[in-house]
Amino acid sequence: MPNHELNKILLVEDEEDIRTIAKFSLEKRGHLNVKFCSSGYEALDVVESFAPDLIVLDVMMPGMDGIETFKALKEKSAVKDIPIVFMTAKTQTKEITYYKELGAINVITKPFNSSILADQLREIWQTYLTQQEQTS
Amino acid sequence: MPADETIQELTAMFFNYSQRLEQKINHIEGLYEKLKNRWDTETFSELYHAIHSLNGSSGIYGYQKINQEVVQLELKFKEISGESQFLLEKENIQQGIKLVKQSWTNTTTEEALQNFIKKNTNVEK
Repeated sequence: MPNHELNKILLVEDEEDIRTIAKFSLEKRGHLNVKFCSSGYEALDVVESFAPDLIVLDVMMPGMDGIETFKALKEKSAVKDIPIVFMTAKTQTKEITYYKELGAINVITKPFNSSILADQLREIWQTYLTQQEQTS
Repeated sequence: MPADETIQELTAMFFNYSQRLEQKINHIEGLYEKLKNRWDTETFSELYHAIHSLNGSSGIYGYQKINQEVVQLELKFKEISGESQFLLEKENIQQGIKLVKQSWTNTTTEEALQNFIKKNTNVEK
């Protein structure tokens, strides 16, 4: 089980405009090591070698969407335990509940506040670690 | 990084997005017109995705008024899974797109840029 500060994030997002602001927010402001992927297929290709602490996954993507990517990641034994946070445009409560029931550790809604995105992910990560410690 | 460099970088990001914003809205309108004349699932998915993308990006880049309208427009799509439901919602969707276009016209670039810079420099969270 991981027991360190959040460092490596794999962010999967098809929208270049969102990747651009997320890059600024997480790398420059947040000092995190982030690998950006523009599709679920690309994420599946690189996830094992990059070995992120956390995966941030956009829900609505063309081709393989976030839910399909999530399920495919959970089927890969080497990476199935990496926690996943969904990222989606303003949505309904029932959808957020569904994503959590599916196994996501949290959901970030877009438009996110880019000035606090790194802090938000660090908080989610810490909560996850605490929960893992309590259940182990 | 010095604050002025940060602002320069953010401003460049903002204008890069803004230059393509009108095109994004026109693309949505074009897809709707195409779908209105002839239903096909692929165009519907493309339209839904374009609206969803604009929902995600417009608020981040400081276009709050557009974002408020796009959120409402996307909600109209949540219950549509086929042609008959689309036909029932067609007028509402057209109205929603019109409101998005109006909010684009009613937003100045300067206003959106200020929103964007404020959000990204911790002046306002």
